[in-house]
Amino acid sequence: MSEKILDIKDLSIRYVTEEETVLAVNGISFSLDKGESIGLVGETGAGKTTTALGIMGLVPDPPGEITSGTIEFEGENLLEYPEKKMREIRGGKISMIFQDPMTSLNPVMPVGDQIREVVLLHNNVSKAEARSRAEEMLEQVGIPKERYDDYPHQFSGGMKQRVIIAIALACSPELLIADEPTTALDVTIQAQVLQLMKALRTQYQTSMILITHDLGVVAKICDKVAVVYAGQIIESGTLKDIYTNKQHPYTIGLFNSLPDIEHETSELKVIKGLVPDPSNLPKGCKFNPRCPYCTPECCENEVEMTALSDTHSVRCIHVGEFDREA
Amino acid sequence: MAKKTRDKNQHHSMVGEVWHQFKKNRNAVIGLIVLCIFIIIAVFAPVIAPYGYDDQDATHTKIAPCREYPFGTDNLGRDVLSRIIHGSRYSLMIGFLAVTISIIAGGILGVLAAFYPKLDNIIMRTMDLFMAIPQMLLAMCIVAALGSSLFNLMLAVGLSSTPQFARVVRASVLSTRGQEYVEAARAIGGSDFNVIVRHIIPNSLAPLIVQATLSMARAIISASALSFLGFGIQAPKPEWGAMLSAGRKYIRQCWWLTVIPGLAIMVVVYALNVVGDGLRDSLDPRLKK
Amino acid sequence: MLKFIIKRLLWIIPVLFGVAIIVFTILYFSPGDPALQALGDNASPEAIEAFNKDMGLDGTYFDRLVRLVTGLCKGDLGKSYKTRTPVINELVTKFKVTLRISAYAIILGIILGIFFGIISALYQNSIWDTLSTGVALFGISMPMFWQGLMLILLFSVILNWLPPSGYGTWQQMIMPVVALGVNSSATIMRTTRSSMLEVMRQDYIRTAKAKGQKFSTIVIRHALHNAMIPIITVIGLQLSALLAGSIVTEVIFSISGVGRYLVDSMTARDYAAVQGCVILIAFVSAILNLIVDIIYTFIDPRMKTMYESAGVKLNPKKLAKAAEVSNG
Repeated sequence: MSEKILDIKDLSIRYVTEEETVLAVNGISFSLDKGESIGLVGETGAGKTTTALGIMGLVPDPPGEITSGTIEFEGENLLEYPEKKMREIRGGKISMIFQDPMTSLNPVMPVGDQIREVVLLHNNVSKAEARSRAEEMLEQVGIPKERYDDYPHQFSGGMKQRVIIAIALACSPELLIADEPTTALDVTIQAQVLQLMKALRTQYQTSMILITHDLGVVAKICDKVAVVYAGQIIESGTLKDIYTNKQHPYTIGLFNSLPDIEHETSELKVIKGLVPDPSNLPKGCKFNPRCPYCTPECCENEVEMTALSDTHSVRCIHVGEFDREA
Repeated sequence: MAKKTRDKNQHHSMVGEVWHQFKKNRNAVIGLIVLCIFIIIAVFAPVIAPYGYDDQDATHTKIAPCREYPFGTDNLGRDVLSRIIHGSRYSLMIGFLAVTISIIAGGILGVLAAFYPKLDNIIMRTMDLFMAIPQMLLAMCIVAALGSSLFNLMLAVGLSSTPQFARVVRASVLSTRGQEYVEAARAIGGSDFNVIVRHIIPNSLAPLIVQATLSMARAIISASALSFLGFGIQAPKPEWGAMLSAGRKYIRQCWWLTVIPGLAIMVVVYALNVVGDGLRDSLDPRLKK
Repeated sequence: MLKFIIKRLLWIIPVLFGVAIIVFTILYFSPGDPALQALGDNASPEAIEAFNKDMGLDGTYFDRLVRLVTGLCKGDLGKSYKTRTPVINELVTKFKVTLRISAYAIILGIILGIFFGIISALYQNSIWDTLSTGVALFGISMPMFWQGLMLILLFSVILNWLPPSGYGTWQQMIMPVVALGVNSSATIMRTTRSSMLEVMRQDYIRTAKAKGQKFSTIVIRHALHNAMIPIITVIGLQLSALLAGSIVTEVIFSISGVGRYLVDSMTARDYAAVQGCVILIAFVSAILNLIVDIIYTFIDPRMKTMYESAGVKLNPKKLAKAAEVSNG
């Protein structure tokens, strides 16, 4: 664990429309070592996907704009890259798996060609060579290569997601961003796809950012976890830090809302309230309207990250002051 | 919090919401204003027009637009402005009534087809047959059979666009019918008629309104084309298409006789089209971001 | 696939008979006696009877209907009351003229429409977008016959560049083709624009971007291909619209095509000729629609799968078409 492949510092992204300004990402910082994988966990609308699009340089502009921060990839700030250079990165060194396999493939292009396209873009190979690479990728994700010329509508959701994984890994990227890769799939298929991703990631030694709201998925394939709330990381650490020594009230709430088989209870504990409206964020700690331990202090100043150990940080001024199991 | 209250308000003022969206579209609002002006002109035509539509004056023929005759006079010395004003009645009336005819006929057929699978095939295949004939041709044949009069022209234009309405209504009823609230209404024992009138028609209304506005534009063009070809309203009635047809002979000397009636048609049709587009955008929830 | 084409071709036959019956029935109730129209008011009863027999105007509604349908089977559209020659002969020569003008017009419409539609969609809300959507809205609001007259006024009367009427030379072709094509291009432009806007929002475009694909390639290979699906539908509808539009265009530019023949026959109450024209136009529209459907299967693989598995019984394109009709 030495070489930093990705280092994001203070990234802020907002969407400006006529009616409102949505602060989607508000100063996210995290880093990733080579071969490591991090899970970005949080509710829908927390800004996870926007962060990913920011790394890819795909934040729709307009209405989106990156207002501050740096994204250093292999030591260079991607935000300073011109579009042309960014295109070489996309799909080549950094690739992304999107949430909905049903709509992420071009319906009028054979799936094989969709894999071949990315191979051709980033490798100096002939069409025939690219085709055989694409066929190889299909086989690797468990689809017979005879199906190269089939169209997306002839595949099931799980199979489509496999194709998307094949596209993402076809150029052996350094970094893979997976945005809720299994959310749209059936539970049984989810397990298969996760297994596949894990195996391929080991094989290609790819670093990974996994975006999800599913803590179970994170536990299966990530080394580190960052909990995202209202466009900020509110707690980050290793798997162990977060799963056994969670400190932020929101993280605690997230875990409490999971069904627990060992202690059979009639009701799940839910976090009260809703994710704050990103066009109208609360002052101070973003979690304060929903926090059971909120004090007037929480509503005044921005809360900074506090390091608890080398790996573990939390954004809460009351760390350790409350009973974490409640 | 703010969102919740908005949802509540939305419930009882769907019209208000649509109007709110519609207002944002500047072109559509202009179109609506133009349309209102034309309606006023049509209603008060005899009062507004400086002359009658067939007041001939042999001493003032073929006068180019000037202060006294803003739109000039024709070969019989009739004031073109007055004829345009009187003619607005025909275009608007034909547009409105023809579409009413097709809404009623198409609506009934479409609802029947959507609601009774047994009838569906018969009705829709028959509609397919009618749609195999271009609308204009169908209207021409109907006018030929009925003879040319204002009412027959409306009937011909209206009937010839009935199949399209039947399709739109059927499609939108079918999609509404699958909705849970309709199934719920049937489950609690609502009669077919009740379900159609209380649930399906109100909820299928949006596409119908848009279709109606745009069809009105097309109906006006079709009717004036028929009159232009001599199958619709006959001279000396000041229908715009008929005026164009008569003025065509003098295109070399009197440009205003061909330019002005056509412009009138275009402005009305344009206004209807922008209003239709505006309505579609404000009724279509998908476009509300 | 072949099975699908054959099925569709066979389906044209009942459609044609249906159209023939509809037109015949409508015209059967039309006022006026063709014999008197053709022979003059003072014709003797014997002459009238002979005329009616010759033209197949004798007998009841059903006799005549049966005669029409059997004639149709043999490719016979009856005889013109006016010229007393088979309608079909007349139609074939005239139809070539109409088809040629319509073909040029649709090509013009497709090129202009798709080009400006793409520009408009890609630079949404730019000056180009505002300009081309505005012009297109005028394009669909202008009655075709007035457009033709305005072209004559400008290019023949004022500028004296182009001949106002006739058919044959390329100079004579320009105005009719433009008059016919502008309307189509406006409709195609509007569809292209909205379709491209819709497609550019799709997830697979984002996937293509994430692959590092160039924007221009994304537009052409990914977006346009998908956007073509509704555009093809509209082009199909425009083909029928053009055939109808040729009626006024041919009258204005004095071109001796099917449209003008139809109007002349209608005025002369030559219903056999009218009937022939309508059936021919319906037939050609049906063939063109079939071609459009076949093109569909090349553009949208989902269609192909559906045709091959389910046959043609329920054509979901029809629903799409209905939606398109409602969009103008």
